[in-house]
Amino acid sequence: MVFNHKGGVGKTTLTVNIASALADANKKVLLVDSDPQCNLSSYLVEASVLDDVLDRSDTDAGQTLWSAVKPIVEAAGDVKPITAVERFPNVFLIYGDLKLADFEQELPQMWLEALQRKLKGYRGVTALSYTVNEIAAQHDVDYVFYDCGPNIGALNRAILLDCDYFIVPAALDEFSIRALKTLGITLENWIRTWRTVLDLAPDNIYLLPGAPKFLGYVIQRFRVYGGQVSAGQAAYLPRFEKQIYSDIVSRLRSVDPELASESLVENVLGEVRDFSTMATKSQIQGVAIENVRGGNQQLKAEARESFSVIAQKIIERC
Amino acid sequence: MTEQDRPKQQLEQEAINAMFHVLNGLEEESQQRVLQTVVAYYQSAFPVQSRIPPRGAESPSIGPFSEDRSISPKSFTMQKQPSTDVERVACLAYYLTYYRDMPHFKTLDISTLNTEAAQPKFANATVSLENATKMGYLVPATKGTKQLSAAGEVFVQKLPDREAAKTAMAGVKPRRKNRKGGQREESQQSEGDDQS
Repeated sequence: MVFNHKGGVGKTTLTVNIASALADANKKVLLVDSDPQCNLSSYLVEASVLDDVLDRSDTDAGQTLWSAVKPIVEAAGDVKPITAVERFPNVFLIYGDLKLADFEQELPQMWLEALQRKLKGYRGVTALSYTVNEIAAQHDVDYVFYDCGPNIGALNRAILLDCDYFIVPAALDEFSIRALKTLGITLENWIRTWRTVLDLAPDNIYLLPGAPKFLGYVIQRFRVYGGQVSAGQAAYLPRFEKQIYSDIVSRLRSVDPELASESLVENVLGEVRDFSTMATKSQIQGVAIENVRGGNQQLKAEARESFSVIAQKIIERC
Repeated sequence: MTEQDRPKQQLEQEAINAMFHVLNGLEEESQQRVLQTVVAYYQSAFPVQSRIPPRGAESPSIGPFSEDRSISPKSFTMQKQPSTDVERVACLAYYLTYYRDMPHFKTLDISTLNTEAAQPKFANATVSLENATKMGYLVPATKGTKQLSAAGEVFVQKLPDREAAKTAMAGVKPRRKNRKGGQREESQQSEGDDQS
């Protein structure tokens, strides 16, 4: 999961480009657009096609995440099977949906019901997980990436607790550093509460694993002058490293030392400079930055290098 | 009134009547033989037809893979290897026509199939379809829809042999659009679309 409740840090761009780099390394990737804003779907699919898919999401032919969980929300049965679409070779997408916001409204109640050991609660909280795992198995994927909305709501909680690992993308600015504190507190709280649910749950029931490991952070969207991070932004780097350790790593390790590495070096997953117009072009064309048609060749080569380093670390650690 | 002045429909009707008159005098087997000969003659005389030929197994002219209806749009596009957005539109139009029984289609149909075929997004699907029409791969059909042109069909059939495909389009003149003042604007000779 690529997660940071701070908006505008490049979650979606990072998700697409890592997926592309992993596909280049012969890995199969499933991308899940769990953001009701559908940014990832918009990135990878033409607007007219996406509009058509969203228009049909409430019908029997619906193929979005909402279509899958709708029977749960409406208490009309279990999750409905949906399919993923292949967007690049070995990269599949599950469509997001604006109506996921409706599902998110129901999730806090389902969470409470899970704490009360009610089957309906377990079924609701695990609905997305079950859907995604089914599709991942169908396509025999190596990695699943959730692109989530910038918030610390119930939907992201259910997703984070389903993940084996999460990545924190961040920008070098004051707001990103401040966001780390709330992020750490929230993560710790979610994991601890879910552990209570796990302790109380009956055997032989489908549950979220609830042990997301911190895979590392990716510093994004910094400006480069003369091959170096711009002086103004470079000043944030030491503060950022310190805050990552105190706000994320130490909090996770207080729950379980396995959830985060103590090594500062290991926690750096990669650095991705600001690719400005190349990132915009990649969104318009629906491809990774390195595959953009036209544009600056040097920037494309830099993008290939940056994302393949991240992909390689993911392959080594996961 | 000369024969040339007579309405075209009347002439066609007379030709049909004459054909029925002659055929009615023959046995069923002979009728079939005569009809097959006439069809074969006119097909070879006019190999490029403006109408969409019959589909599926009944058609002998729709290419070596046309009877394989199990081919996926992704495999079909990979097999044809279109190199531009316009060529990809032509390939997808061909697939819609012969594998989805959809001879008339809109931009959304092409875009949806493009997604299903795991192809990259079109920079602008509407423009790509317009360019495909201008360049003769598609022709306008009813109610704002498009259909594959005869030349476009041959082009796709010849792919991935680019030389043969290019030859198929050699005789096609790009569509010209009338301007308000009656002047004609130069059609876009370039591919007009992004190179893949």
